[in-house]
Amino acid sequence: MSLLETVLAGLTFRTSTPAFEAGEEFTAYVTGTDGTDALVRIGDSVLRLEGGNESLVDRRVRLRVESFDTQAHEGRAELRSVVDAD
Amino acid sequence: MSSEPEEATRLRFRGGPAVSAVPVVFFVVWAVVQSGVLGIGDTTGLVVGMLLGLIVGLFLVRGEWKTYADVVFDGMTKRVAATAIVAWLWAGMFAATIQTGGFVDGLVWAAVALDVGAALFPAATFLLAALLATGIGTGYGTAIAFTALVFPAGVLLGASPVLLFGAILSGAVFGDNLAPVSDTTIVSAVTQDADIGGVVASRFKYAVVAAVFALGGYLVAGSAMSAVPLAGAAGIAETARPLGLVHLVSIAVVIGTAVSGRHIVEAVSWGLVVAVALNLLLGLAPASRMLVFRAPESSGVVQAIDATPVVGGVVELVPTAETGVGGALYTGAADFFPLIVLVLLIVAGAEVMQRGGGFDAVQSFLLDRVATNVRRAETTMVLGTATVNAAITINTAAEIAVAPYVARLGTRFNINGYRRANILDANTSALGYIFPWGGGVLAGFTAMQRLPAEYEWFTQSMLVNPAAVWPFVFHGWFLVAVFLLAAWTGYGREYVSDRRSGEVSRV
Repeated sequence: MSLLETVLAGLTFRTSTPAFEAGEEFTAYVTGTDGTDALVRIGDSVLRLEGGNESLVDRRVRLRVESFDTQAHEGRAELRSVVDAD
Repeated sequence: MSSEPEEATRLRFRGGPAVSAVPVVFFVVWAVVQSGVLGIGDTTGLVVGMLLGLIVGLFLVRGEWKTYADVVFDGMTKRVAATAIVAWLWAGMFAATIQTGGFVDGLVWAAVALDVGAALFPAATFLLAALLATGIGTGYGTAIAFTALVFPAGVLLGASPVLLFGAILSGAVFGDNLAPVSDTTIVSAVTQDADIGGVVASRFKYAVVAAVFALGGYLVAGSAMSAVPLAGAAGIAETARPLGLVHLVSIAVVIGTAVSGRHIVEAVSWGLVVAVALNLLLGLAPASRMLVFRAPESSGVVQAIDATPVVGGVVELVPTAETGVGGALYTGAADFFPLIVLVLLIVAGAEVMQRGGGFDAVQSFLLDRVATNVRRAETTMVLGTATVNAAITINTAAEIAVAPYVARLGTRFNINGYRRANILDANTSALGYIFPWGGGVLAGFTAMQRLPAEYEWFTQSMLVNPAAVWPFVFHGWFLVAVFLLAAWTGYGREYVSDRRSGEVSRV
């Protein structure tokens, strides 16, 4: 990123319900569970992290989106790795 | 983010987890009474408050007291405190060095040379104070320097005293918020797990919007509230020198290197080297103004060293009772010592609350009842930070106390570290300079009280009542308003998933 790009980053009106594409890969914090799967809440959108459990809550993970419903603002994602080691 | 407390070191309190908040609550009450009720802005006094709070907490622990003591130690050795302390020490030395080099003097010269009249003076003061505060990173220092030097100049020219004081405080807010070497900027970045350069870069989009409105406010109010110049206004320019403005280069070096991603210690070190070199090469300040060893004049060894060409420049012969080390580098670092001790103790108090379950209780209440969606979470972060800072005089202390909640609330919605740091710092900076018990207001007012003794023409009626200035700190109010609107509209919002993780790394 150039200096100007760093300054201009985020200069938008960002939705409270971000949408994701299948295959998209990024890192995010695991924010909770629904009893079985770990949940990654990004704004008011929620990704269900299959195979995740309560021990991941508040950890930063790398995940890959498998599917996302733009109407319900919900989707499924695959856990790739745990990133943080704080 | 920290993981869940380990079962082995969990603390249990008589009366339940909420009692683990006693040390921090004791401190907050102490801070409100000391600063708000008694009007004493003494950081070392707050240190005693936190120490006593930690001792009170000890008596409420179930089981071994040693466990409590261990948790206090764990808190004090947290990396967040160490990072802030290192950055403060460097920033303090840099700020004092460019002030010694006559930077404020240069700003006064610029204001006079641009021939701004009474109507424009508050707006020009806001811009220049913002520039100084962005360079030296201390809003308190800016409030003191500008009230002592620029405020009387404006009053002489016929500008409204209360508006002028508001403009100075607004400039202090701007710099406290934006400067990479500001203590609040440093705390906001390290507590939200973001790099300082990236935080500063991401901050312009809020600061500039608020500043444009504030500038407009000072232009309009300046015209409406100006009076005729007092006799003697013409003499101000004679004492001001322009050369100190060369430290704009030192400031540009710090901001440029910090924003381009270098470690803040590296960025400030480069700025410090440039500032010292400029002071020496241009004759802005002799070496002894930056570092001086005041040694006993009775010692033969000292007399010999004093006579040597280079080293002798930083040695001063004094009576034995007055020995010591001094200069801008010394005082710049030493001024932060009380705040450093305070931050260590507050972090210890927060750790006690974390291990005792009090933190979880407050957090659960906020997440379950208040911050139920991302807009409400951000609004809670804005209002929570503003409220705590409105209550506690020393805004850095307030910021440290509220930072863990901003971090936890924000990460539960995957709000990016930059955004969290910006919400935390903007509202910390703004509220510290608005109400009469705010540290910045007190610092400026203290400097103002010396003016009647210094200038014959400055009458008691020109003093601004600290309780009257709050409506005129335009930048502070606009900054809070910008963040409330940003929380609602999503302006500037970024999620953790929006930027590559490498960029939001710890300094």
